[in-house]
Amino acid sequence: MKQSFTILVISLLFLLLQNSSFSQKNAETFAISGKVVDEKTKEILIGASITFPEIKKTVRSNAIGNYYIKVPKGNYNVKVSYSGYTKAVFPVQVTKAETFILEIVEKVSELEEVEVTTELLDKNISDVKMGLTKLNIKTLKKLPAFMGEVDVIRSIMLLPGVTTVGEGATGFNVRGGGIDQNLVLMDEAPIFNSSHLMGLFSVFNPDAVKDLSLYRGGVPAQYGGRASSVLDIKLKDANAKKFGIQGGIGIVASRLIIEAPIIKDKLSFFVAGRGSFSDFLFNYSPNKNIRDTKANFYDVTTKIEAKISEKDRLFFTGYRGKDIFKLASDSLAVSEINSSSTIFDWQTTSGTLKYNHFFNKSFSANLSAVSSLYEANIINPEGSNAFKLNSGILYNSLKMDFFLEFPNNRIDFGAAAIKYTISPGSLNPTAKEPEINGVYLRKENGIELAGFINDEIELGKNITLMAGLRYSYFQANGPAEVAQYQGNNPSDSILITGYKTYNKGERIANFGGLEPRIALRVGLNENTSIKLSYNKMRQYIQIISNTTAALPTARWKISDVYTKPQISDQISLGIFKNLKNNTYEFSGEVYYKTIENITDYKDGANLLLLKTPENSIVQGTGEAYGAEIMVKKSTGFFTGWASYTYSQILLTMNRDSTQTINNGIAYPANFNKPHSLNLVTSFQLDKRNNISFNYTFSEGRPITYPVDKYFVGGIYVPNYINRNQNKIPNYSRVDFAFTIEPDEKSKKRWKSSWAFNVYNLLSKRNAYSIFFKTKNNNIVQFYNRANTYRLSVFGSAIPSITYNFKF
Amino acid sequence: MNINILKKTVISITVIWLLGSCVDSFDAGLNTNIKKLVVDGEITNKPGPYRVTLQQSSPFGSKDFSPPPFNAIVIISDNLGNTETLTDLGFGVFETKATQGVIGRTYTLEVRIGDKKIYKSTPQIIKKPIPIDKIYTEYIPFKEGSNVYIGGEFHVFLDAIDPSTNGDYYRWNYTNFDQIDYCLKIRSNGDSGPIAIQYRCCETCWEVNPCLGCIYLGSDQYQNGKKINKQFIGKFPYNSILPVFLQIEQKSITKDNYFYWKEIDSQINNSGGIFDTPPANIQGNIYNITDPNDQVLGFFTASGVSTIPYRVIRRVEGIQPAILGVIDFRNQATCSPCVEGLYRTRNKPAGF
Repeated sequence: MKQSFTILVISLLFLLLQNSSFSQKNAETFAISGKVVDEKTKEILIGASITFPEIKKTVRSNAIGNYYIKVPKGNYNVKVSYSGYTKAVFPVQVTKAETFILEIVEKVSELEEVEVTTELLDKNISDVKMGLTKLNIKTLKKLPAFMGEVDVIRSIMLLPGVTTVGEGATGFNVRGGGIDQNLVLMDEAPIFNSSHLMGLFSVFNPDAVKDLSLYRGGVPAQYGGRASSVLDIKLKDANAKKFGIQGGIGIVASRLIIEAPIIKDKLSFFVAGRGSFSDFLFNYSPNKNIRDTKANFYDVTTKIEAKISEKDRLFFTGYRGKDIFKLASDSLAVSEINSSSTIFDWQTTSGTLKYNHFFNKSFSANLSAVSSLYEANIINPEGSNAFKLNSGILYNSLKMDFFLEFPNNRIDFGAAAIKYTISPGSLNPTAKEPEINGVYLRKENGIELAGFINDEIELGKNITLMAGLRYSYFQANGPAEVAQYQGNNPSDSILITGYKTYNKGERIANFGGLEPRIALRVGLNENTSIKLSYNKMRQYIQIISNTTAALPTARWKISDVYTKPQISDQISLGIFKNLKNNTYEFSGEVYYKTIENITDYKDGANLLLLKTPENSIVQGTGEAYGAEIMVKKSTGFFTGWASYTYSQILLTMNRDSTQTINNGIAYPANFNKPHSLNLVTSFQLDKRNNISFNYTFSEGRPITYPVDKYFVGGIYVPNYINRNQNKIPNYSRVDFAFTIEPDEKSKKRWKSSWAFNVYNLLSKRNAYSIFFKTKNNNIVQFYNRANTYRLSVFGSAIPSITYNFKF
Repeated sequence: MNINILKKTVISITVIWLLGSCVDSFDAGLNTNIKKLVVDGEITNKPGPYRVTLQQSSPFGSKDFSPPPFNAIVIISDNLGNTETLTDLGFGVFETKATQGVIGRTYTLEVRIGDKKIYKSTPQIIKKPIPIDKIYTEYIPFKEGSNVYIGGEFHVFLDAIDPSTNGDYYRWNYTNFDQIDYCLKIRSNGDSGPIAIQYRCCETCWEVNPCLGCIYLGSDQYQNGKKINKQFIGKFPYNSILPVFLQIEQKSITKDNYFYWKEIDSQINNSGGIFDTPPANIQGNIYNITDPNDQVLGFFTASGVSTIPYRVIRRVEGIQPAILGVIDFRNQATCSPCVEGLYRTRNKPAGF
């Protein structure tokens, strides 16, 4: 299979190279380069399209805002378009190589030109990448928002190929991948838990976000370390020309962002803060335990940009977000915990320092240093059983990126070094005279090194190839004590024969290999293209969890002697077609993916504070396949998209006879929802008013139903046999949003806007889960009926209102 | 200390609050009819007789009661070669006559059904019982605004000292003895709605309420050699000034038994949240020795038990007990006898 695929690629390459030699026939061409920037703020616009209609050539500004094109001598009317901006035409006379800074004006809701994405109008057919969706924050702000909070993660759930275990679950699943298989980057810093309030909101402050790119397949070689997807979130530029304040007041959280120049045109910053006051909402609950509950979060995002010279820039991004839950003791009465209250918290602290240097028009480099720390705690604050149970993961990296830009060829190459330090958990007694013993699991250390090159070549007018290669190497290092097992079988702690001690820095295990990333685009005509991609990705850290959706406190684990790295291979094929002058976009993709060493927990496994987690997990293979179809309308009074996804992910856990799940027979993963449909619609009523609806349907997630029940020790117990063989009912929901934009013509400095949202407009009582209870009254219960219940978390429509202001 | 359940509870509650969620009944259409053997037996260091109950599992959604298997022979043997074939009391209940559990010995249960099916438990040891240090009560008043009746409840706690050996597992339980005045209650539908008439007891009568469905477990995993502090045993409403009589048991159980009950506890307390550990098959300690695919449910438990009688004094300075419900019509003239049985006794419980 793989071999024949390679042959196919090589022969296609040949074909294309020949083809391209024919197309290189124009004699005198000149290199035109420059930037596309916002006229007012001078903010660099990434992914703007620059069209030379006279020669039917279009380029787009790259990741650092530059464009570069070779055109023959002549007069051109250069068209520039970018989502949220007025289309502009620049008359240009080309007689020599020249630089043009193209300034375009931000649009204030022009009726006919409301766009859904930042993408170039024909980007979906002209770009070699597939499985990629870009959304900018302007689009997100028009989507109906849950409880008024514009949310990055909730928005991507509306895209094809993205699912979740359930509303309120942490993270998201892409094309059959687990939540730990998504590389979530915020200005290059990985975010290990993207959720506030468990999973109801995400940690990204919408005021600070500029745009997001989600790669479901065809991941370029500069990204690595995760097996399924990349969600790359870019924060807005800190290049304010004057002092400004923006903010918003919502029912869950309130926001404020301040931006200002420190030295004009040289040094600017922004600080965005967000805090919840949901305690106030708890007070209205009819349940006393809930009224005594406290739940809050905050986050602060900051960015500083220094323009050292025309060729050198320095950026710093800082983020800190924290969630705290405090629960009253009564709520824990069932849990045998002898405590008066419990605190549960988690926090992310990250920083990115990036240095950007332009050697010349076509060569630039980035050097970035990233540190990201995720910590989660469970705290019992009082009494002799007081404790603090903490765990975390620290990521430090250095990355060097080079960009070479030629008209028909763009090369990225570089290298990265990452150090992981995982604290799997320690139980610290905090009482003066503790009645519990401390448990301190050793930190896990690992180093990942990677080198990559990615070349995007236009092999001809209609053919583009992205050939990328990444090599990654991982080494788990001491200090550590690794359990040794009888017959090298780690299935049970009973088989432990001893522990092998490794000193600091000593190698415990190492892994590595090539990760080819190849994509090919063949344009059939101006409006249609076919794309093919293959990629291999290696993942050296993973979450091990025994719950349906991983907890914020779920344990991260590096690859070591018994836990092998996850390796995914994905091949996808797609057709992309635009109709009616790019007004309608159509895309259809199919994919097939295998994941080696995917991890799942054994029945009844407990992973908390476990010194040898290898006893409780099994690694096996995952097989995922599916089809994604999307139709999108990007301009006009009505905009929106419809997407349908068919997907399957089956896990086979059958390492050997002692290490199986579901008796070694393939079973669907917890988040396997084969059919899903999303409809997103937006109506621009006039310059200020916008109405939008969205509809979501998905098949119910898999669940294990009991087969029978039995009576033991005075209790009726449901008996479950095979994992995930049943399904909860299907899910559907309609949301509504009405936004009123500020009057841009108004002379007042204070500008305000409103957003009204209704989540679950039709009050649909969707099942969040089905669970089984057996009554246990103090009576003889042979004849007692066991009951099945449905839990719906959003039992009714949830309206919300948000007030936003700008000063 | 059970941090897992803590986690689960914390999160379920939070998620459920946030969303104003609701739980309703659901028909999952479960209609399987596979009957499996269920064995529920126990041996302790306390004097017998010890009982073993055989049943069959029943379809999950049904009210049907699957009759016990017929033609069964139940044998308990120990590691010294002593065996006893239990007496069949009918309805799947088997009882020992001679066997006395001894601390430190291991016991095996064998069940033969017909000629072909032989089931055996793994050997279970009777561990040394660990003494109960102290039992005490705390009065917890209901806070204002709760939808429960006025008053409060008495929470009973236990303290003990975990020995310095690793791997001690506990299960706590109680039996509640209530002296009752009325031995018979007859309900009938009168013209103005249902009425109940209660008949007084002819003699002193005690109601025996085993704490069915109580699973209080402990492990010294994080507390080896320390004090087991304020272990919750049960709660009793302040609806009378009569004391509550309890027979409190602290069982030293095997590791297998601890994890068996821990999983059951986790599954029957599932709140339906996605942060719950999904339910899965719970393997007991009894196997079909010839056919590994024949699943057997239940557990044969051996444990060392410490027992303490305890009296919950229900008096709080300045607070009157809240009387629950409606007082039914009481017939003082006719009396009803106290019938000796599993849940009633004429004999004053030992220790009081």
